[in-house]
Amino acid sequence: MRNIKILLMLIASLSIWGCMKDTKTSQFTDDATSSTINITVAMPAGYNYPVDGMKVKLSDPSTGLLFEGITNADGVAQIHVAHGSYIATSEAKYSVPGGVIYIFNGTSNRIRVTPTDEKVVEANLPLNVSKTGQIVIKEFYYGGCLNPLTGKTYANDKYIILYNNSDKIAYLDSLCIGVADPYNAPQSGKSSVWVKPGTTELRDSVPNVSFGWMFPGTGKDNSLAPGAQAVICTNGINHTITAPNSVDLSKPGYWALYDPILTKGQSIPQPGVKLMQGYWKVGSANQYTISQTSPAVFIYNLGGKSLSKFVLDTYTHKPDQATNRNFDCLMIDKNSILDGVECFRDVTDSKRLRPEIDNGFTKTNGSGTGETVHRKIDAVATAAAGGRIVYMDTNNSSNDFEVKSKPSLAN
Amino acid sequence: MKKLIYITVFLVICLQPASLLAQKRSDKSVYSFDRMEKRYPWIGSDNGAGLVYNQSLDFSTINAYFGQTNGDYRNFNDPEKFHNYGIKTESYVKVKNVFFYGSFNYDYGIKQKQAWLGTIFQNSAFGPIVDSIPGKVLNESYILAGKVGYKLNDKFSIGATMNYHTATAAKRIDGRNMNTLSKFSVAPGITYNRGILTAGINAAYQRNVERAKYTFIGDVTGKSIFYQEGLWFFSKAGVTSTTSMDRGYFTNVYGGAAQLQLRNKNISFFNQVKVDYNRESDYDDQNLLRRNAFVDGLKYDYKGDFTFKGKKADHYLGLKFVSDEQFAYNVVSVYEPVPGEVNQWNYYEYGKTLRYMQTIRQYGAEYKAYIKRTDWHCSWIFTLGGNMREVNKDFRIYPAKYHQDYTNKEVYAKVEKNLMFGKKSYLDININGGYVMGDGTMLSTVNPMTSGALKQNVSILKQDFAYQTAERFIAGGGVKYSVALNPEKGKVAFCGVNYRHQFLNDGGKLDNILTGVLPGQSRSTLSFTVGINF
Repeated sequence: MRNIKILLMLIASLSIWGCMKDTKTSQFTDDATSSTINITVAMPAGYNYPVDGMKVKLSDPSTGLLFEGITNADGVAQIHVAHGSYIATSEAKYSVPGGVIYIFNGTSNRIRVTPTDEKVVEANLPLNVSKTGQIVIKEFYYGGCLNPLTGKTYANDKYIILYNNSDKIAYLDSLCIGVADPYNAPQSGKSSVWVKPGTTELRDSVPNVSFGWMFPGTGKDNSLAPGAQAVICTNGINHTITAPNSVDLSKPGYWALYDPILTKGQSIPQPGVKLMQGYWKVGSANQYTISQTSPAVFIYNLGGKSLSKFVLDTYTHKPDQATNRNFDCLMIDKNSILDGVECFRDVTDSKRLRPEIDNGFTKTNGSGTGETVHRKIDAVATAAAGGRIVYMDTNNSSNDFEVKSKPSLAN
Repeated sequence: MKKLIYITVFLVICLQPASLLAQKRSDKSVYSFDRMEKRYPWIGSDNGAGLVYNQSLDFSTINAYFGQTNGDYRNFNDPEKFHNYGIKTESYVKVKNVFFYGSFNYDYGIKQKQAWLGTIFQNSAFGPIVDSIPGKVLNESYILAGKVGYKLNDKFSIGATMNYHTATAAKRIDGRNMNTLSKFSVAPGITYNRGILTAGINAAYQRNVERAKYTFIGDVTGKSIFYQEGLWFFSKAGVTSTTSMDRGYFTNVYGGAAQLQLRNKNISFFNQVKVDYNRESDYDDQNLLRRNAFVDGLKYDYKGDFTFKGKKADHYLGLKFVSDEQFAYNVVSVYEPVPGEVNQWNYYEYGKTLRYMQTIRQYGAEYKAYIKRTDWHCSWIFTLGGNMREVNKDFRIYPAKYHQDYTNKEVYAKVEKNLMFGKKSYLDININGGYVMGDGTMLSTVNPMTSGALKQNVSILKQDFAYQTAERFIAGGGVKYSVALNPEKGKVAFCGVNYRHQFLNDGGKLDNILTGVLPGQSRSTLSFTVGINF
């Protein structure tokens, strides 16, 4: 009889096995896995344009999740999101008499909505104001192409094309070009170290890393007619000889980021290729580095200062490199920056350029693909300009740029 | 319920006190570990104290092996080809009232064109970092297992089980991952024996630590590392010459098992119920503040071995049931300034969100008939079995929901024939076959988002589902030649070869949606063994 009891107890114990899933169900609901962000969009002081109906995007750089909402008459957008840490962006464009076009855009601090936070989080998105530029970056080819002769990526053929997007002559003299620090966009939800203390908001100035390059001239030596372009490359040679899929950058009139002393590790430009002036450098590198995967490039002026004064005023130690001078940068004030383009490897990368410069990002499918990022044509503005091509310029490369399968200078 | 009562009554009538059988040393010539564990199921239990119920003679083996697997019926994280070799020893020994079991296995493997595997062993983590680049991977494992049982008196025995497994893997192409794994487990136990009944209970603790380090040293760029989640959702990061990514998987398993055996001279009914609760935390960059994921789960494992010892044949019926529920959380870690520090940043954890639930249930039954020449020596062994596996997977990231489920059913059979040549030589021949079929739903989705959702690797999803549910046949066979070096002491040398071939059947239930998804139709394994039993 006792044996029967033991057997029955065994069978009973088998039948009372619990399901852990039942205890987890309450954690697997929409309510348990999401929160609400109420974000208030505000125009900058002195501007009274309406904030009703603006699209607000919330992106989580750690996961690539993207949510959108529309502001009400008070400029508030209520957006239901999955748990995470989000950055809000918004933008608007208004034309005023006289041909001036104001661009309002903004990027918020990180907005944290996690299981340990309130279910409804309030956040602000103050907008910044800027104007459309005269000289814009039309194309940025940085990832290189596949070299069929070696089976490897060939990436010495990077170039940037500047374009006069206005109906007036532009002058390149003393216009500078730089790459933002860090060379590659921060990954996995990390922010740039160049943020305002205690926030995730980028500083009002952009760090120009390693080299400062400038167009030579005394004021009106290097003109750019409306609709004309200037090609700037790292190696002013015919790359198709080495890599058939590459481009010929040896043509007269092109500009090379080359200095016989500072960048002697680069190819000597072909005759006719003009030299940019290397006006500042730190570190021992003998080549100018532009990332193949996720660079951020921008153009700027000296703000009316002399070169020596400009360098003196902007020279800064990198926050996390207090003792290493190779990482020092020039901090370029956002008001001196004419244009910039932020390139990511992936949507989960983090920004280096402020929203007034580039409120978005563009990306190719990786280095060695031969792809390039190219500004889109603004069909309406082009028609209004009588056929002169006008490129889109909303200071948001997500809107303004497209990926092309090969560089425009390729045959 | 009536049936259960009838079965219970039948068992109690049948089960009478057992008596110890005298063992002949010459029997050792035909010992096998499988046969020992079927006859004395305690020795295969998780309870080290159960070793004291081993009535066979001391028995040991040492062997070397080589195996090779190739063919394109493979999952996304299977290598194209694989071969391994190693040595293995295994031993049951008793000294007075102390019973020992020990085994050691060294294994070295080479995988060709391995991709999508960021851990040493498949499916050991729900959210691994992986790469998509096929490459050569070298594996090495040292596996040590030990048990000890001590008979306190006729009623009580105590014992313990200890296992240690360390392994490494290294990929030979960028982005190359180098993994190291350590697994340690300990399980103290006790048994109680009275009359026809023997009961036991043991606690268990296991600690697993695996570290993966991805580096990039080559010049071919444009490669990516994928942060994987359940149902193959992922986020992606590029790798460059400065890339060095670390991931640590730390798992604790707390559990225990209870055993109960009813037996008499000819009948034994052994049961073991095992419960394990596991907790896994995954950390990035060797930074314990940067927890990426948390997994917990509960696993029930029941096995029941019914053995009937007849005059001419022994009959064995094995039953098993496994319920494995796992729950994977996304840990919200935010990179923030360190309070009170200037320009110092670190990760801070703000809770976790349940994203993935997986339930696997397995049911199995196996019948074996041992046609005997003598008590240990079998002329024929017949095996017939079946398994069913139900898998449910749910992934949720607000506002999207994803679900997958499938079922596998398997039947298999095996016939083994032992031929004697004189009194010293034996030839074991086996042929086996099986049939597996599957059915289910690859993915049902509710996702109101049109853009910006977490990405899912659809090609992996398809290949895995096709692999799991493919209708397939399995055929195999092998021969093993044994020669008794010292029949009196039971010292036997042996060598054997086995071959197993799986091939798909076109026109399976899901053929219309999965045609062409798998890279091939068949996969085969060839293995050789040589060794000595003593």
